[in-house]
Amino acid sequence: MLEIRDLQISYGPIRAVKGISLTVRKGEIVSIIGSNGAGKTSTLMSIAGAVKPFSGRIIFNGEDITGQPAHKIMKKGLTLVPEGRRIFPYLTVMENLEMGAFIKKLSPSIIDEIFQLFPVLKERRKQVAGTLSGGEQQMLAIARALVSEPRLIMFDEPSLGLSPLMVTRIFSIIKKINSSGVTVLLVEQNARAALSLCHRAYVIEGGVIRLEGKGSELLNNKDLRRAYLGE
Amino acid sequence: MFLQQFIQGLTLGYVYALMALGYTMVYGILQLINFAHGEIYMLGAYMTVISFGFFTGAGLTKTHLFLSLILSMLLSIIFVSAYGATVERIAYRPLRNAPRLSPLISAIGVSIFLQNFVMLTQGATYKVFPPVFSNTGLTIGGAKVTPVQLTIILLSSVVMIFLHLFISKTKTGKAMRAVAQDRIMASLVGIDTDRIIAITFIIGSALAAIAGFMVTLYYSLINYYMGYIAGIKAFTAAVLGGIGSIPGAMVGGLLLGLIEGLAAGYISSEYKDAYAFIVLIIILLIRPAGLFKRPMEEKV
Repeated sequence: MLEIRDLQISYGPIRAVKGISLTVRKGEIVSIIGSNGAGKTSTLMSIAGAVKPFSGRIIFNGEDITGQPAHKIMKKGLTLVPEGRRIFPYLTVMENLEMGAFIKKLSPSIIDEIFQLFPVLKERRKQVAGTLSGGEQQMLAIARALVSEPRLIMFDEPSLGLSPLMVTRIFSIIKKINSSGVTVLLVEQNARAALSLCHRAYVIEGGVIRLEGKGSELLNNKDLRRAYLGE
Repeated sequence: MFLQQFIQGLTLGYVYALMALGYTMVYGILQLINFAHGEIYMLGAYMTVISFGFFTGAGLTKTHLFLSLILSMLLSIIFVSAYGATVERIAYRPLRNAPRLSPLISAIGVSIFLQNFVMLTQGATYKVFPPVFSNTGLTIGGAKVTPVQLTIILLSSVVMIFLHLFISKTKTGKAMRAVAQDRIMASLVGIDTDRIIAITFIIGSALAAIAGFMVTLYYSLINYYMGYIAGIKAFTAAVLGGIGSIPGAMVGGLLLGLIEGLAAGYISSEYKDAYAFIVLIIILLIRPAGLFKRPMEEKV
């Protein structure tokens, strides 16, 4: 469904991503793990079209989308829940959802579904989004991505800054989204949670892929356990 | 005298407010002080005079004065919006990812260009708009309100109400706010941010055109550098309200007009243009964020 070939991303003279290739198949949860500054966020931003890659190819559903503007890529059914949530703080919860569905009309049936998944958003639908708690903002960010009915949804550090309880909830929601037929690409620093959730994973370090394999296999990999799980 | 000066100030205040809205909307979305905005307003005044002159030549103004005024305003809005959109396209869009100073310098360049363009094509002398309204007007509590003043107050109020509804209720209006709050995120949800920015410029220019139209009716005299002082005053109004804030621009414009009107009446009308700058200096010293600055606006 998504194929990335030899992706390189530069910020001026700094090469953040130095040739990453990966594939995500339909229906999978694939996670990318790695430490701070490994190039995870850059990779996701360039898939979504917010950062222009230096070189390489991004192919989504057989179509080359490399370098296309974000709003066009989004229309193809590829959406990103960005790092730090980035909800629109001065719009209400409902207006944020409307913006999520900007490319189409926000249908009442989708709203119902979303409110079933996130009852707290229904209670707070008229509230200005900047006043929500961190966990609620993360739910809103996910809901905002879901209302566009994506085929592939990318999460960038969804657990960042959340309480352990909330992390568990967010991960179970990601699982639920995936089982409803949406393909998931998940970037996480919380390696243990990500690896136990995903089908396959890539470990990136310094802008290149170091390891790849099934989530369960990587969980038992000695080097990885030492580097990311603190053992 | 108070009431008379109050009405005078209110009238001017509405003109400032309409212009300040253009500054504040563009600033809100691009963090750019569009120094060419005063010239856009000047073009609005010229287009009014030119269109009205055309209708006079066609004989329409004699039989349908009201209709020719409305048509002149509409033509002015259409032409000036096109100017505004063109300026954005050629002078600002190519600098979208440049350092913030670059578009600012570009704006000053556009301002100088437009002034000279109008001077060369329209002449350096004053243009006169025929006095079409009677000067009698109605009297309220000893103060006289002329038909032009009444027109300005009513027309601006209606325009501002529509603008408010547009921004708070329509999908495009909400998208404008979303782009202003987080442009990259807005593009990630599927908003064509370049299109929204162009629309912002078009709306701002249309408001400036209406301001130019009203001032033409009010003063009957226009020239190619009228946008300079008006631009700075409207900028002051936007800063007074808190630049980036739409209600701030409305209130800031009205306040500035009132301050100017009352100070002209009670202190001296010789210094009429100086009061705006005194206000600007005082706000920058005491409350640089303006009256309506949002508490958590700090951008990272």
